[in-house]
Amino acid sequence: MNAASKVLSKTLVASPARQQEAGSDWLVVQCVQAGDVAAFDQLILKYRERVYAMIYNMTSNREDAADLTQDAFIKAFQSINRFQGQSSFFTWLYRIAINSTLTHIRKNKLRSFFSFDKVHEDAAVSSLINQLTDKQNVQRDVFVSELQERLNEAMQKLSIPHRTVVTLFEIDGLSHEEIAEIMDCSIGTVRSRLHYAKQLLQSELKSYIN
Amino acid sequence: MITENPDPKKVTIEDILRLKRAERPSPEFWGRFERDLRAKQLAAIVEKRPWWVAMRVPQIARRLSRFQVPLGAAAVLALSFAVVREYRPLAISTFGDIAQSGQPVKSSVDSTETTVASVTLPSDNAVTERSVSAAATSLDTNARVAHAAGTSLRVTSLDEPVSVGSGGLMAMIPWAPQAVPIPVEQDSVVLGELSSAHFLPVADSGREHDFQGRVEIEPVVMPVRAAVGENVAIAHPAVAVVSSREVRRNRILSNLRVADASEIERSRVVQVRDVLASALDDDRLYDSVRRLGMGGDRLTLKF
Repeated sequence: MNAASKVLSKTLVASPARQQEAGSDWLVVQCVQAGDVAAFDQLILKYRERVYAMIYNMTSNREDAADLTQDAFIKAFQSINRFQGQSSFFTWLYRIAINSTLTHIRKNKLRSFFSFDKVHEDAAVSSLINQLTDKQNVQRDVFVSELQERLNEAMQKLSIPHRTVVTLFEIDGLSHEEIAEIMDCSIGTVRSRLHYAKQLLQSELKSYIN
Repeated sequence: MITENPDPKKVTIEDILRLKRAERPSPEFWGRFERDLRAKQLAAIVEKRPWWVAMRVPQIARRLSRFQVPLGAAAVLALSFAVVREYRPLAISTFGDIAQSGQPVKSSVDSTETTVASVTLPSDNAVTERSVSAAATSLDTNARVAHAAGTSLRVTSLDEPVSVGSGGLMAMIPWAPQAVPIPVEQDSVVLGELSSAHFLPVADSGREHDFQGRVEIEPVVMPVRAAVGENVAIAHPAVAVVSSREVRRNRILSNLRVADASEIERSRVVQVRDVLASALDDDRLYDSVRRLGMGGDRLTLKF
């Protein structure tokens, strides 16, 4: 059994795409562990947007998200020799990022303010915005800004575990199993938190929901 | 996973959350991000790491984790052995001091010799805790003698009732209402006595008054090794002022202490015995010479 298959067998995430990803990541990680520091750049380029998006949706602050993303990659780089391949590199990196983010949120609980990224409209988002603006008959840009603000406020009202689950599932698109592995809890806990968080978000954003 | 809205005209919470996914930074942001990350990465490489990281303590601890139970048990065992082995009670060292200081050794002693110890407290009207500690300090010298003689009289902490021991029984100070007599072993010799007359009347009530009921003078008796018949004994007036914490410890360790002390004492006794034996031999020789007489062809012997 070679190293890549060993990683795959230990990875709880069972989807073929994830398995392939984990295998290729493990090879890069082995290069970094062997002393090829430049190989780590591949991992940065591959995961920086996903890690940033996750942290941004947790903090609702783009500057903090940028700093925390960099810190997560630095920590991963410093600890790369400790990575034994018992989970996928993606899961390991996410866990580092989430722990850093949770520490940051707990430290700055009383000093939080918003700093939003611009909404890049694709087809799905455009149709959604059109649908909402037709009903309320308001100016589009103003409506998008207002909705973005209300949405981030509602997210910040969630507790940290519930916000993490919603972010990972609805925004990052991870599966329940992956979230359970990252958050070190059961799948049932993930589902329960997700259900409760959606209920809370619905009550906060009921003016936008039919 | 992302769920699609079955009814296109109905907006759900999942649809609104899709808006969050569309919040993305501009390409310029990533250029700045990469520069900052590169600087931090270089700083992390140059930065001196703590020694515990350099020594890879977590990895070593993780590898040793499977042996944590036997290692822990071995460590506890070794610690216990070291503590028991290295422990030297105070009595042993003070005994050595006394032995070297040339304390008088009685030429003869009774097996039931009684040494009277007196404790004198300061004569202030208000007896304070400070005066108690001062009294305890003044008794420290006597305490060493007490250890040397194998007998100690203890003034315990202020939490215990006052009682005085004399002879083989504990006598109680009459002004100590909650005093409880503590029985003493019959085969031991109790060498402490405290008279209530030494305590001046207390003027104030309250904390100072509590002192009366909370001082205990407890004779702790250790077997006096009186070498009867060998005309050699070690007897000193002995008073030991010991904190209440040490009462139980000394009681537990008394056997060990006696065993250790007896060896030292035994060597001393052997030395004295040799000296006395040589002296007796000289006398006997001188006496025998005087009683022996020679006259003419006869040898006389006087009785």
